[in-house]
Amino acid sequence: MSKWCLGVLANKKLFMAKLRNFFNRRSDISYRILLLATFFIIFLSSSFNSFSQNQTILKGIIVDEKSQEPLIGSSIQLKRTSKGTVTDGTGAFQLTIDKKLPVTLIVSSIGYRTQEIDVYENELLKISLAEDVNRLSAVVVVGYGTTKREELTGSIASVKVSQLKEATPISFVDGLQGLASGIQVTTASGAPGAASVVRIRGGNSITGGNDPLYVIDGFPIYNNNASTDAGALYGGASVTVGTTNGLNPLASLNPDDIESIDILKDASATAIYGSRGANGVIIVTTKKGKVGKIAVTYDGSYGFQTLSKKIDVLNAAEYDRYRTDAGLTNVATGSTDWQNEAYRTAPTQKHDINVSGGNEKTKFSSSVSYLDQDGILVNTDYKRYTGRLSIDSKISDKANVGFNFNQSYSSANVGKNTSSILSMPPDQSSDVYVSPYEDATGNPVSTVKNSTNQTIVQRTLSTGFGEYELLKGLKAKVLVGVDLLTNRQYSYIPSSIYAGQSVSGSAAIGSKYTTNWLNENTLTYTKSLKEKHNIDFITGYTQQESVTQGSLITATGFTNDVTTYNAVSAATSKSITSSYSKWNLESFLARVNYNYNHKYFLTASFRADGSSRLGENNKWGYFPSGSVAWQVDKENFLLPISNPIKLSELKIRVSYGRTGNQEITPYQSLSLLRNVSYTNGDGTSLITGYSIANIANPDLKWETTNQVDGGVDIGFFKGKFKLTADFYYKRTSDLLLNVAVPYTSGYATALENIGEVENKGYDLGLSTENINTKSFNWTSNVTFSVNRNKILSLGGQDQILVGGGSDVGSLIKVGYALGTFYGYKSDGLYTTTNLPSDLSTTLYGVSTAVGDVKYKDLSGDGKITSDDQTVIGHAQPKFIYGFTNNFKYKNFDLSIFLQGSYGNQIYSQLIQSLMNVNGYSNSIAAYSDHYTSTNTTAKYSRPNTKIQSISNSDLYVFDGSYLKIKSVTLGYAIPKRLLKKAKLTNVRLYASVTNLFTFTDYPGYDPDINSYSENASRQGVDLGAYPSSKTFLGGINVTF
Amino acid sequence: MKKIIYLLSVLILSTLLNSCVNLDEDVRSNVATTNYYNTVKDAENASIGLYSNLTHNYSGQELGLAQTSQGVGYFNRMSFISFGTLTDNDTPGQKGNDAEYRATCYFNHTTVGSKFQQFYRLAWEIINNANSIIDRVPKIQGTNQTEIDKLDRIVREAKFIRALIYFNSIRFYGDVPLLIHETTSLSNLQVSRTPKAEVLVQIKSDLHDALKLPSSRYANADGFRANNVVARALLIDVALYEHNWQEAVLQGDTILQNSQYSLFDNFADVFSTTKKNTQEHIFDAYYYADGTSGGSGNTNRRAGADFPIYGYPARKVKGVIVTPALEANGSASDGLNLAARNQFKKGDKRIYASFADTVYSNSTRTKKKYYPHLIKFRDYTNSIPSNSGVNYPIIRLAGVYLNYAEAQNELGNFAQARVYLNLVRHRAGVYENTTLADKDLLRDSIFHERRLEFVGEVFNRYFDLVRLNGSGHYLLEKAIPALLQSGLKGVVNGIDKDGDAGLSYDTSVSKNANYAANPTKYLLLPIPYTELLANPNLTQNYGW
Repeated sequence: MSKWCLGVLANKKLFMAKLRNFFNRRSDISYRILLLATFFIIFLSSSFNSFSQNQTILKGIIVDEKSQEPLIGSSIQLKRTSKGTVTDGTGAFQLTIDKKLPVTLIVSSIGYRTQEIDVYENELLKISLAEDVNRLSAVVVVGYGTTKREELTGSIASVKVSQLKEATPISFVDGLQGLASGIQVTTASGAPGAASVVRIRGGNSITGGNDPLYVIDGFPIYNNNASTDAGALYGGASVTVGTTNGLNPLASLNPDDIESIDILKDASATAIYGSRGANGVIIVTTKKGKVGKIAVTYDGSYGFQTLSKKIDVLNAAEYDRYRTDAGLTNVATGSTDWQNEAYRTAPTQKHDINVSGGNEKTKFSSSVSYLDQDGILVNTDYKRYTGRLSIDSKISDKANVGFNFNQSYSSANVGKNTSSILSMPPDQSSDVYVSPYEDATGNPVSTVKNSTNQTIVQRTLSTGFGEYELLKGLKAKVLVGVDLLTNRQYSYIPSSIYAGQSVSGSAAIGSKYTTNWLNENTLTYTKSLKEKHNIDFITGYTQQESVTQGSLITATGFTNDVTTYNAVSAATSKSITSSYSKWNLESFLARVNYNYNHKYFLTASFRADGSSRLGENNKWGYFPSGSVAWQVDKENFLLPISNPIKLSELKIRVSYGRTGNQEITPYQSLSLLRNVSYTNGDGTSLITGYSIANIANPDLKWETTNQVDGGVDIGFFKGKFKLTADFYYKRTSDLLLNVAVPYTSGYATALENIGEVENKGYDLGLSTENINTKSFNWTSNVTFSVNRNKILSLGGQDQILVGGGSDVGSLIKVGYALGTFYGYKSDGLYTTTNLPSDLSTTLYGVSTAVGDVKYKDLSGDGKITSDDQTVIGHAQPKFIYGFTNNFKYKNFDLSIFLQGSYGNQIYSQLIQSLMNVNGYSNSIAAYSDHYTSTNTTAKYSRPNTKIQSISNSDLYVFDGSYLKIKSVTLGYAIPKRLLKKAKLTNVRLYASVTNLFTFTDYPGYDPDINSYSENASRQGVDLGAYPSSKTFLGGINVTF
Repeated sequence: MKKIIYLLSVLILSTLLNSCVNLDEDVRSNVATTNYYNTVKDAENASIGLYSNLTHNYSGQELGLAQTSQGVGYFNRMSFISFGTLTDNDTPGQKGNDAEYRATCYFNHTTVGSKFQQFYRLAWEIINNANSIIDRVPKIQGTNQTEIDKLDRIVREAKFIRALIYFNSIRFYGDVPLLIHETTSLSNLQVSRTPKAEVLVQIKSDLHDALKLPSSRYANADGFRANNVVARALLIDVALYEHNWQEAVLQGDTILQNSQYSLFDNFADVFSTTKKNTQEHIFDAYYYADGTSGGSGNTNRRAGADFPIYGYPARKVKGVIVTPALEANGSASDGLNLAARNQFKKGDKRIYASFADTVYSNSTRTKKKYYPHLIKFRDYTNSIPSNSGVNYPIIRLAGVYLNYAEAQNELGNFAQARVYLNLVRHRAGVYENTTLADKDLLRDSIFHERRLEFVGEVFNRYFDLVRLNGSGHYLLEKAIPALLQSGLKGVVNGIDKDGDAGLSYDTSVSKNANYAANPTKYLLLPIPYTELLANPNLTQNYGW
């Protein structure tokens, strides 16, 4: 069978031609029959193993090396066969083999180091397993299957899930930061449940989406934050471009339900996901039942959060002096610290109950959980309820079925961008309705307190599969899954607050329903020839479809604030919209893994994806990959070297592959019309017409990423020191880019495949066991990632001004990285000696005077104009890192997790907005040192009421490097002898602090900020979103 | 056991032979060009879409530019203010915080300003939509004569709108690319400028095609559509631009004979929501007070643009008693001081329909101050200022009268010229009939009348200033010092005297300073910087 397939793969041209032919003529049943025939050939070509008559029954028990506790659910496998079993509830096993002794058994258990045991005599075996300090399971989940880490040819990082949970993130995504190399996680907002931004090996795309593909229990999900934002928040006011309002859809998954997280980084690993693999793949597997008696676990914690940092702003007296210096009059009526009014100490609690167990036939795991977290901003909170059930059943020797059912309900009250909390004049009393100064703004605290912004996310993610072993080694599997995601939003802005006053209250109700279904049909074949040639092969056909439907009602003009959004019929003005969006994907995939004697490994994969979203001339994309690995340490010739230096592992890997990206919203290749309104001739009502919205692009196609990766895995001292290093180069072409077209076309932009981006860098993962004695154990884990991103081409243009304007502070420019800041370079303040005689040559024209900021004339034309803007900073870090230390002394355990970023800069629109010199709003405290006639050596420019908007400049670009003590957890396990009386298996008490301290020079709330969330071109901008918090927790973990 | 095998086999077979997904796009919430433009109804809807383009802004969204909140539309608030501040009519007021509008006031605007960039883009959006109708609608088959006539009419109306925008564009930019077909492909978008003489040929050809439209007013619901009178009135404008006085008189005579068109007795009726498409109206941008405070383009957002913070004192405006309570929620963001207010003689009936003169100066509403604001487009049937359903007149009969008077004057027919000038003056109430018989003086008088009559009506004053400059009689400089003086007067009388906090007109600069440095430059608008980046085949205008 493999010959046939390899042959075809080798003759790629023929294969592609046939595929194309097939795909293009979908009604061609004959080709489908050919495909079936292929499967049939696979059956026939697989040879039957001859069965030996010799049978041996091996019995034994597996225990923990230290505690001598039985290890339930450990697996015992006869080496180089698929024959094996697992231990029962007492740690005992029994295995019948067809071979004569001696044999070699491979004994493994999750969290323990895998051992090979040579059995010479048939006696009761007692096998002690040592805890694996790296806790990285021996089995790695890959696309459409699992593999042993030692047989891996690609670059896959496994996250230490236990460590992830120490930081008690609401979503597992938040917790990934620093725990695996090659992955960068930044925060869009500190609000509970808000979205994070995840990048694996940098961003490839400018507009096509840079988020990795998540595969949760086999269900591929592209995480779209828009799917949890029905658009009804803040009274239905239009969403600020790039900022997130909704909840992170992935927060619906309780991190405590996760068994393992594997991050697929190189193309060899991700190409099996074809058109969705370019940004990396994160495979999440939820907990599965284990053989053994039923275990009941309760995990509860309670704690509180506080604002991680306050920003110093001018107090009332300082502010009044600033206004006086600006030549304005004061109307002080009080003195308020708006941050004190807005932020609070907020409680948080979480309760999980997990019940799991099973026998050899059927295993199950189930859990319910409750999370209730108040936000540090008043009137914000997040609640989540989850329920989960997972059942795996072996119906017969040959058939398996399984179900995973994840259900969650989250509800949050969210609060808007909070920069006005800082800019509100401090010389007003806290109950002031509206700032009496020139830029009328509402009382931000009153706005947050009195408006309702509720968003509710319900998600059901279920998969079920049936698997049948058709012939020895050949398995057919059918998986079906459905992901139902519902978002409902309710908002009311009462007329009693400034924001709702002019419209007499505004209400909005929105809902969004996403139905995403999946069907995967795969055949896998595993074969070992003469114990030397090991091969496994998978081929499959999958289809997936997603439909999103939404509706939104907004209403203004209420006669009272009593009924809020519950009776919009009472409003004088209403608007209703609805939407529909659908995409689907059809794919064929194949992969072959071959190894010779477990020393030389080869993997090749191929996927063909057809997507509805792309232009009719380019629906199908083809994504091949190949990789090889060599277990050098298994070579005998290396022994003279490896033994003395205690080398325990040395593996070299090389891979190449092509992956794609198609993350654009549907229908963009078509020329659509939009419905528009006009007033009828009587002027008495509105009528609807249609107008063309964009130019069609039938050639719209995939973004293609080619990636090479070279890696090495080195271990010393039986794995006590383990280093994984990967070097990679990625080049993405045919970027999906909204290119500015001449306005004369009638349009502003058009979506085209233009441009190239490269990412190169290296990932290092180091795990060490520093000390391991009977009572004391210390292990460390270091991740270190370097990525260099560069735009190679923008299809003939040199640069794209983000948002079409020249003044948003970000730029996309050839030769620079994504996330480049753009603006003026400042050059101190104007003095009596350098103020030009012709003031119109300055940026602020004739309003300029001594004490104003002087900008550099880079174009050299003697005038400061927009031409003098230049690159003023970059959001991309030089490197990011994570450092975990785990200590264990007798029953105490301590975990300290540090995480950081170096060399990145932040463009702080927050600080910029607080540096408004016109006197209408508050400034940072340092601004009290501003230029006046008596303070001519001031650091900051003079108050100037004529300057209405502060130009983007390097004054607001800050070093964003930081080192964060992300979490510190101290635990104490109550000794077993005390527990026995209470019939408890395990009780652990713990206390933890999250986000304890941040070492940084950044003057904003938190340098870990990315306000524009998924918007690749505006990375590293701080809009002054919901600030981050510090969390103190105490908890208990009980196993009955 | 066996059941499972059967189930699996069936599932595998069924999915392989019968896939459930279809890779064709399933568009349900939109219509696409591929399945549109088939019926007369489709043509009608596209036509409504084209008219809608006059007041709305649709494609700016992709640019991340403000789509609707500031009344961005070809004939909406942004253009009103941009072109107002470019003339001697408007200066930034107490709350004139918008840096770009202020810059325009000082002739400090640049090639990167978003307002003029938007305006440029909107023009081409309208032209492309007109082209799409002109290209596509003739392919639709009408089944009877009524339908055939309707389709024919829709194309001719589109030609009128195309001519209107092109005529504006050559006056704003000089030479512009002449594009007469819809953009359907991404190739060949980098067009070059066509000499404006050639563009004028196309404009006149389109207008002559539009002359075949019916000459009677469209009734009721269709009232917003252009008829033959509309096209003819624009032909007069084109003729004046070309100094073709005979042609202007010829076309004017036809309109003057049309009994459906006459001046309102009461000037304020022009801006009444109940008298749309009657008497004096020739072609309007239509608005409807649908309550959208954000201003989706349905409402005339100019009405809410310069609304004073503490409201107006109680008074009667447009026949409605306006109490302070009704005006309590002022939150002006880019208010203007109408310098042109001081040009009106006391008792001119147009004043009360055009301006509110006094406003309160503090929150307790005790002090009043002189602070003229434009209220032409204020819809007093609605409490929210921005919720205005008052139409914006693009062409009205008073304009035809003054154009006709101008043409007759240039031909030396002073008596004929005086008749139509006097009709306009007479309605204003306080002006005696002019007896001037000197070409230059009468021209001055006509242009002064245009300024008073059309104050706040977008491009009129701007075109007048540029046109006169071009003709060599008036120079723009003449208007500039006048602006400075009247602006200062407003400031002195209004804001600073009361000691109110806020912005004041910057006395250290005048339009003059920047203007004097390079007067010719300001005869044309700049081509937006971003447009030059996107299309290197375009050239920038002189001086920019």
